[in-house]
Amino acid sequence: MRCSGNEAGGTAEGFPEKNGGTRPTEVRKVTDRLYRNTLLAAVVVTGVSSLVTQIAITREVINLSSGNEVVLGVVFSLWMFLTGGGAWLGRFVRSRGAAGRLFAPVLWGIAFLPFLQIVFLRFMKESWFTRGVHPGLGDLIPATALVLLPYALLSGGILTLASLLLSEEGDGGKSLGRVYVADSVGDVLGGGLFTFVLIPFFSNLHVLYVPALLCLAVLSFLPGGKKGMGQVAKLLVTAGIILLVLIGSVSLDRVSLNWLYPGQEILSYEESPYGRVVVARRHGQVTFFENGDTLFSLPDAFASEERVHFALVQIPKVEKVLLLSGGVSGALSEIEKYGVSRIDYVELDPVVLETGLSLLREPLPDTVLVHPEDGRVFVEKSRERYDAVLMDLPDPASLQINRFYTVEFFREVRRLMAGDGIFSFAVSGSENYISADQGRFLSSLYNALDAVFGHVLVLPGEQNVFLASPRPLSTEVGRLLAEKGIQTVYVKDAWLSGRLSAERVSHIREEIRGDVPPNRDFDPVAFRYRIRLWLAMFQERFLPAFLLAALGLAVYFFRLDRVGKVIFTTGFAAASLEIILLLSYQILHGSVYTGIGFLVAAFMLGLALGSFLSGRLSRVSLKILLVLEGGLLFFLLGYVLLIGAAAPWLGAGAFASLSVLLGGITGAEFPVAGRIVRDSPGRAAGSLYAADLFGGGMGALAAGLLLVPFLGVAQACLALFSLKGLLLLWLLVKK
Amino acid sequence: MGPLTFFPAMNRRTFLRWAVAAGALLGLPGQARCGWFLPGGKNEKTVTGNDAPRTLWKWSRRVYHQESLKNGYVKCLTCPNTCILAPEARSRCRSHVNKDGTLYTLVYGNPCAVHVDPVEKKPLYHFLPASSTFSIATTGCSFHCLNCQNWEISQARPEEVRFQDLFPEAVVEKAEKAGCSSIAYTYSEATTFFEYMIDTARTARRSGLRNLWVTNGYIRREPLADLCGVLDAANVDIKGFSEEVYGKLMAGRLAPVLETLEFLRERKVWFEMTALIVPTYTDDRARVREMCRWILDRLGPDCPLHFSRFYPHYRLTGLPPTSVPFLVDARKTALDMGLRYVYIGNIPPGEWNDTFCPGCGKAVVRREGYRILENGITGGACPTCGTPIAGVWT
Repeated sequence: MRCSGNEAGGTAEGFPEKNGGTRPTEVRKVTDRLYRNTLLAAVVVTGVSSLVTQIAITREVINLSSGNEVVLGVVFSLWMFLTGGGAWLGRFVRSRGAAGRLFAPVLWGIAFLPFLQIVFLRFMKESWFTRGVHPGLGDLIPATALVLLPYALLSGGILTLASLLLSEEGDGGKSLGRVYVADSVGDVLGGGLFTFVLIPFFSNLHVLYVPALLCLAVLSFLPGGKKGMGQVAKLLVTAGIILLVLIGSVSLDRVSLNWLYPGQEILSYEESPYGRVVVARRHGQVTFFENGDTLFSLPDAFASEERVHFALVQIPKVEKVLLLSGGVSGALSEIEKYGVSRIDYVELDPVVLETGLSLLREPLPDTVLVHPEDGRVFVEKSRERYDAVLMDLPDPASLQINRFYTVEFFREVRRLMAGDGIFSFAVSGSENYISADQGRFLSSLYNALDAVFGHVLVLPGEQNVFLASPRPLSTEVGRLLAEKGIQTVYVKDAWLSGRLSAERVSHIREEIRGDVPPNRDFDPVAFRYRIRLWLAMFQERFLPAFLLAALGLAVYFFRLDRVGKVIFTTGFAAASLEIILLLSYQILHGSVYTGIGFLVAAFMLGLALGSFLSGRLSRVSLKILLVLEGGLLFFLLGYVLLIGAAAPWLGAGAFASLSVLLGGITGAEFPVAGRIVRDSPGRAAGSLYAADLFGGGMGALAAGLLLVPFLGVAQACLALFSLKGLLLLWLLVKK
Repeated sequence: MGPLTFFPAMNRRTFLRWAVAAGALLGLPGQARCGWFLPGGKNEKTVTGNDAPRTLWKWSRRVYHQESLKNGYVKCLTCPNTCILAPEARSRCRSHVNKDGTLYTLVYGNPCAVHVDPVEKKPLYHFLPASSTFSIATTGCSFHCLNCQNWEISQARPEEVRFQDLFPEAVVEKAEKAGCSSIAYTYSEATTFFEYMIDTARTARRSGLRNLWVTNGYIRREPLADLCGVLDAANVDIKGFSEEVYGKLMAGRLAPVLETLEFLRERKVWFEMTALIVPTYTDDRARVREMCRWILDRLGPDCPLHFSRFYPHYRLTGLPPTSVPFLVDARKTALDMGLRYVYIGNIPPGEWNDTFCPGCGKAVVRREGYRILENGITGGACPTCGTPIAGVWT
């Protein structure tokens, strides 16, 4: 049965009814300022809630799945698809009465579903997945979709409902633009709130209190009569407050967190700007987890000796050492064995640093200077000279980490190196067999080092250790250690004989291929192969599912009208470009989450400004849309040129300006499109929001999963340029 | 107006269309991963699909243990999975295919990992100490361990990897050239390349080389009996003394592994056991005691037991490494219960790598890593009190 007008339910008391209301005298005028402002405030609050919830959920999913850009791309695109689905479903609510009756419960759901989502995700760790196992995409996609579905449908649907309720006869679709602006403003506030205010002080679950309280505040302002929706809203507010008190009183956060680490005693738990750091104990052993992955256990002599001695034993004299991460897991005391005069220890995450230092049994030696900052930024600005630079970072399985494994970074490291210094790092390997992709992964890293240093050596093992130096290097680590009189537990011939045999060393050397391009900042070859290795672990075949989804989207796209096609492709290009901007910023300036939040806020600001300004245009036409499309094309080309010619000089201000500009162009299109579409307000809003979000979902997925990893930044922009250019040509021809 | 009325008109046909689409979208990856298994009899899986290569290749041989069934189906009798394969289907281990009603192995003479290792690395502490072993592996495994260190070969098909052309005679020739005293069938699961293993072992025996089987112990009685005829030593994993753990983490079963251990004992094949201790799954003192009790009752006190430290690997990266104090405690428990030779692998050196005489308690073999620091065993016995030390020493 399809809902149409008021035939099915009459007028909701307290909500204005425009067409065909049965009791027109009781209906408030749509111009009622309080009512309109409350609706717009609800949209703003929904924007705040959706962004805060999105970030909180993403962090939870990362904790479940050892997240990388692929997982992030999947979560973001699922989010957009499902929100688009909500907006699309909203089209079928035709009457203001129905929309009015739904509005308060929907807003209440937006306030409280996020708590349920977080708790359910944590519950799934033990009940849906296998303990300790990071699920593959085949398991993660349905699970995440299930968790996101109710909230995303509501947060998408409320936009359509608000557009319908705010629409006036003869406003030419302006209500859609106003809702778009309000939603964007909410996103800006949500991003800023989460990054700058909430996450430094609250846990991932507790941050949800703020949007929930905001939703309740707006609910309490919803107008109502004696028995109508106002009463329902007040009831909902009361129930909401009781629920919030209950959530707080049962320590839901701590209880649900224990589900993630069953059988372990959680000693500390803190959300840092980079993820969740949990320290847990089992049978007397303390282990650090970051984002659900084991970082290290204390003590871990094996790892710390491996990180230090393979490298330091190679050079005659060690005075000054730069250590990029790994200090709190035991590397510092190993370096001290060489009688060094100074160790600069750089650790990105302040929480890992503080928690780690607090667990160290002895105070740090005077020779150690601790620098809580991004390692790449430190290296780029440092004027010191080091005998050794030791890097102890995870594999380049994310673009955030890949920037430490590129030719560009290695050049900076070489600049800091005194005469015959040495640089080393390790990546995970497979001792007995090197697959084709593993070989290419290692080759890309080897060739990047080879482009900068005169000598490169790979020592095979469960961890493949890379050594690079201007001086010749030796595999006889045990002998060199004995000569220097350095005492070790693991790194000695007794253990190395099974690992560094001539046969195994030559085997890995044979797998290094000269034809694999070196890993670069904007052409992340090593990241590409590392992702392929990661995907190979799950042995899932996505082709049938992808083809089916692609077919569905293709059918959807070709059924869209011209304006819908523009909005879909703009959503696609804007989401891709915004991710490309974020990744570019990350590559150049480090994984500073505040910076990322700042850029997202800048993009949303542009979106709000663009939509606000274009909403004030007295007349709109397809020509304006074409001009904006042309602007997007110029942006894409300009960005390629900028990255090619001036990447090192692009500061935070430049990226923020680019984000505002991109947001401005994207945001300006939406209200124009809304006014061009000749359809009922609800249907127009539903269709355009769905097109924008579906396009955005595709874009987020494509940028993180395909465009950047497989094409690199410049070619990814050119691919987007071709897509938008073709569409513009088509629009011009069809005109 | 009920809430459903807000949705578009949806008749049964529309609903079915949506349900099929949603089911396909959500279910396809999982289906593909499972390989379209259909339930067979008890512990048996019928494998359908069309997964066999179009033609057999140079490295194909008829599988030695198989049973022809109706309609071109064939049953593999090598391991307890006992896959029933439809025509053109491939076994769970990925190494066997049904071509025209006959089961063929695709891994005869094409090892993808070939290395020379110290025998202590297998680990075998009571078998020709300080000797080198020529180690080979093809692809394939009867299990799917979530922490597998060799997953790139154990969970791969033979066609997906790079391999060497190395038939049994060539293996023996290379092993002799490398100065090895034995050949180890290791890394992945050797049972899945049973035909290649047993033929190489027969050739090796003729050349005076020994044969070592490093295995999950998941093999049926008949092939095991054949293998025992040419086997000199084995290391069998006990990946957790619990069927539940085997099911959850390995996609296998414990009972057949225990049967293998008893059979090896019966046939007097020298073997040692490796017990992996996985945090929150098997790092439980009661379970360790249960395992030790079983070993004492069924195998006796002389079978060496190696406790192995778990490290996060492959897909099981959300668990901590095994606590060293727990491993030390587990070793003490095993010794207190009466096991004579108990070791701990992968942790800092200490007395847990040494062999002590069960008679006088003195260290008769001292080890560091894969090196033998001191080997005092004389004629297979303690040089101080003359108590025999179980093992193969010459």
